[in-house]
Amino acid sequence: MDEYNFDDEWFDGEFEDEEVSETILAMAEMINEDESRTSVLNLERMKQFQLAYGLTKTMTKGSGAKVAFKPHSPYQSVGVISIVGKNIRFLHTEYFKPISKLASNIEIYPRTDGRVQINMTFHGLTVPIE
Amino acid sequence: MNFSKCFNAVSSVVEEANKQFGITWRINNNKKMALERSCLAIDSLAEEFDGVSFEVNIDDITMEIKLSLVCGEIIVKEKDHKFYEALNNTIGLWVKEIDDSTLQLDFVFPSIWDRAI
Repeated sequence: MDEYNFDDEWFDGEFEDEEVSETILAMAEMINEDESRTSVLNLERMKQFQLAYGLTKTMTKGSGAKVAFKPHSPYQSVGVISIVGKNIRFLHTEYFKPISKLASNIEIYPRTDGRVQINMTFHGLTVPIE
Repeated sequence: MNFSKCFNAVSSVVEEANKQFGITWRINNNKKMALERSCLAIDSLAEEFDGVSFEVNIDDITMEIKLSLVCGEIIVKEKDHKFYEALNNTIGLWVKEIDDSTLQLDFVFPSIWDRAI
């Protein structure tokens, strides 16, 4: 029955469209509230983000992939390194190990224009002042 | 997806290649075991990300082993995810799109052969 495999007792196993919309709105409000708080740059985290960018550039050198460094995107506390290309070739794959410890998550997906996109997301670039 | 385990596919291609490389080369068992560990991790990736197929190719000259996994979109959140384990022993990772919903990941491994003499 429970195709989503949730264990939470309040969840009855089926999302209605209205519930999904409400959940999404609630999450958006939480994010807006977080983003509107006064924050300072987390320098250590920013250095990690920059290090990962450097390693990624090294790994993809010569592959023709476009590597973009996007701090504070889509939110001020989040940064993304995105790699886009038709055939992305990584050398020095041993650099994935330090990146694995630094990045919050990695996504690899096909785009509609025939290219692949890889996003490495870094949370915590800013911290709110309590 | 019902598929042969990755290492089974690799083993059969390695066996064929071994015959071709002849007596001047022999398989290094430690390297083979390292390859097997990576294959187990790739099996996990195939299961998690809707793997469609495996393909194994061995370069005649460099003897590098390329293992291609066709699968869906990949999302890795955990620091100890099998994705990183699969990459442990590789010398290259190639990623390309097959179609709007499918990727091909090529894991390139170094040769598992040493000179026999």
